[in-house]
Amino acid sequence: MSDEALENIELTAYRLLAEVGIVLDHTEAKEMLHGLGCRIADDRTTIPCHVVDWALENVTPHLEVIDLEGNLAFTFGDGEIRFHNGGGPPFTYDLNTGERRPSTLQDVADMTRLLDALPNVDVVIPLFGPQDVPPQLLTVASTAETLRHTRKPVGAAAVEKAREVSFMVEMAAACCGGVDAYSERPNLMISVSPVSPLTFTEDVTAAIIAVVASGTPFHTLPAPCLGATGPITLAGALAQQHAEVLASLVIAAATRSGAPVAYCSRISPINLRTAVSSWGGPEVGMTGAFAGQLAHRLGLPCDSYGLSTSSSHLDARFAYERLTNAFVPAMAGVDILSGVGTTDSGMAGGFEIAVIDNEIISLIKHVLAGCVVNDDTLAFDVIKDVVRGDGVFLAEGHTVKHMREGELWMSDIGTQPAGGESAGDTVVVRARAQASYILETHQVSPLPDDVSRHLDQIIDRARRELAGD
Amino acid sequence: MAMHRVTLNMLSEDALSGIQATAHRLLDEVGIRLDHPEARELLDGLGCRVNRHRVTIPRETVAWALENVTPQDRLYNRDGTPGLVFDRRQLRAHNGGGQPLILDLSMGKRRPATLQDLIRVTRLLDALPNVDQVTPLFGASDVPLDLLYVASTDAMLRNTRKPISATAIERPDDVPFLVEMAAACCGGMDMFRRYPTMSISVSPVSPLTFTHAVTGAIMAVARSGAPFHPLPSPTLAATGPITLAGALAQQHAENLASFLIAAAAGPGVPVMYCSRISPIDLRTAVCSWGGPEVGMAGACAAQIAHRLGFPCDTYGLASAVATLDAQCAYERLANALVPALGGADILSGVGLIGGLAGSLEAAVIDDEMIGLIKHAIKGCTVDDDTLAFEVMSRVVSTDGMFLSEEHTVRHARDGAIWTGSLGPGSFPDDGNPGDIVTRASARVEEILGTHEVEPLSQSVSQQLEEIRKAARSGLLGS
Repeated sequence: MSDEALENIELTAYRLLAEVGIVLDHTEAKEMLHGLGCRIADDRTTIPCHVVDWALENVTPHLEVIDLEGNLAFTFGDGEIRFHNGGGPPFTYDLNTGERRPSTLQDVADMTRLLDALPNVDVVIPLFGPQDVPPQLLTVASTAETLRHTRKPVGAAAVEKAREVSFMVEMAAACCGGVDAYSERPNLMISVSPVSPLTFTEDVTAAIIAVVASGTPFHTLPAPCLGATGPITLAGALAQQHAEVLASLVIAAATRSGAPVAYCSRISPINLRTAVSSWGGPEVGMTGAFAGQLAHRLGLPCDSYGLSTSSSHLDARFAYERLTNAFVPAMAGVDILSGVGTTDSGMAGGFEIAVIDNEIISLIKHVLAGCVVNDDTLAFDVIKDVVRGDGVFLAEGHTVKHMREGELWMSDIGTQPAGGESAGDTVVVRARAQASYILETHQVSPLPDDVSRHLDQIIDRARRELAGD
Repeated sequence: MAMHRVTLNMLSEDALSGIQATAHRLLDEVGIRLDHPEARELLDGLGCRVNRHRVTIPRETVAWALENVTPQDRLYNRDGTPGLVFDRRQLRAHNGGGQPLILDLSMGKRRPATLQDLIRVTRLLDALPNVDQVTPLFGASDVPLDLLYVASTDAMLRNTRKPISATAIERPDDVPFLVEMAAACCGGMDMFRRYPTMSISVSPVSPLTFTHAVTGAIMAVARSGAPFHPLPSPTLAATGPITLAGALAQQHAENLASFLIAAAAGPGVPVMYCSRISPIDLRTAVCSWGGPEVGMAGACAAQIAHRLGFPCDTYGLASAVATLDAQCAYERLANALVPALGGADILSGVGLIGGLAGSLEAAVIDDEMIGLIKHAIKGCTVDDDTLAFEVMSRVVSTDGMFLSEEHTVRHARDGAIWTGSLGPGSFPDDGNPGDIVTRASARVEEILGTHEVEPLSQSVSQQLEEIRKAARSGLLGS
């Protein structure tokens, strides 16, 4: 997208905030915004440009991603593409039966361990919304399981209530040596979703404030649906999403100057035949790519979808939709893509899906590495020798050297050879076998006893305070 | 609405120059093996150095060749009406060709393909909106090998109105029959030469080898008036270097040498630049069409072709997987999306499955994937109307619904959102959607049950019959 087009989108976002405004159902936030120069009229809060600009100066890009033990895992903006899994599906494809069934807390634990083993997954969040824990405890309990089963950087499940935040932060802090260490280098990131269009409910606003006040990196996650909760045109939806991100940043900056933040894109199209949001349309990836450009103009890292499909089968459509939606933003330089392990517009997750995604990501990375052109890769002398010697390329030293350096992409899942008449096993069968093998063999060193006990105590307290047990 | 197309360049200008310079050095210093006395004489006369079978080609001769071929910018329908134009703005697709097997889902396995399968799939491809050119998908097992190309071309001309191509031919003898047949459908040889309805491909042997049969075939095509598509297909690490840059240089040299032979035989011949680079499977040491190198090479080749002013035909929808599963889909999508973003003009591969087979269901799914890719490379139009400030302002301040806005309805009809033709809601009474293969099978039956291809006139049909008879006596046992 051209700079002029991006400026037009930004301008429209500014106009939306200044002329139309947001719905802000939170007294304290209204007061803070009023103090910054926003106008509060009836149920709408309009945000003038200078307040947005002030906010942009008073947030910090969330660049350093810290692993569970408090060490720097990677830095956004270093030129690498990264991936994390999707979060929240209520259904699981059972690894043994292949049947779709309600997700459990054990699935969260198993899946986290699987994701810990997959080399192309960089950040782990609770993949499932487990159905065997009380709904009020779901976010905290699944975050705890995630912390216990990976040593990779962790993101919390998207929070909807401010009260959940302190439990998550306490748990993460317990893993890295306490609250002081956490404040110094928070080893968690938390996302909150404003409601589209341009609505900040009391719960959402309180959650944003709680995340930011705790010093945790805040990922704002608006999710306008084209034609339903946002305009049908990509440009309009990007402008609305941009306004929603900016309003979130104003609330964040007002809460705590210097809050670490990231720009997220979750635009999805509506299926025009069935009128439900459809995560398989190519608009997901296209808007992710453009959002990456918008984020980078603000100096913020961008987290976008991603590996997404609306297919409810693990079939060819599942594959081509998710690859399109991951490829387009990956080519456009987005920092981290979501979606690993999930399908059916986020309704279901599966172990075999995560394994297939790991493979798809390696494919994407291979393409992104591009084509190196120099005297060695142009291989004039090699071709000359082979042509004159009437030999084959396979035996050349040049071939062996570049083979070892990964010139050719190698499939991890392998391909069923097309021999004979049989069409062979599907990739789903092979991915299940690989997932089972990893779960049988891959160990994540357990948290120290005292940390583990500390987590137990926090969960007990959360159960009393959140679920009323 | 203006057609937008997002293009991403895989190669820098320096990298392109490096590849071109290496190709020129290969031709000039290493040369090609040319097993055809007449072609050697022609090339000798054009300044090449001939040393027995080895012919080295100086830069000036390559430059002469580039001036004496015509970039093929269009192809016509069966009856000579305008078909497709290669204008860099549209992405086109054609199916793969020549597969001996068909994946027959009713039997749950692969079996030898027949002429009847070819007829069915040709009618299906005629109906699929994202297939722009049709080539014989199957090499029918129930036709004598010597008559395969003639019988296949006959089947295509009778079952599609779209522009066609002959699968890569391997000898000169077939060419006059194929061209006569196509010409009979569009009003005779003069019309065919002015408004060609069929392109013909010939594959040089990698590395840099032009056998007697291949060279004769190239010359016959160049003299026939049909657009010529050279199809070099170096396999990385086997018949070409393992590095993409080296294989692109070798393929470029093979394309240029093919152009030279064609220009020498028929100056002004319309040509297409093609790329068929594939990686070797390092575990089995056979060529594997599923690796992402196929699409990456295609994207790079498109840049090289465009630099010289030629359109580019490249793979494409390619996978080595023999089932219509998720892996097959992501491999083919990656290999199609990358060259699509790289600016390729026409992609091959529709309907192929697992190296040796074709599938009607795969063709339907590929048609859907091409539609998806076309949408994804459209980019995003940013203007006052698409920015929709007034719409958002109204909906937000009145607590209204975007879905009922006129803006939504209008852009939905304009195709702002990709709908596809196989997803939920795309069949009548679509209550319980099956997986994509089940749905594709239903679509195959639906199309074959309803789609009519206008039959050829009786006199044209009779002419084709006579040409087949002549081919039978001329080619069988020849």
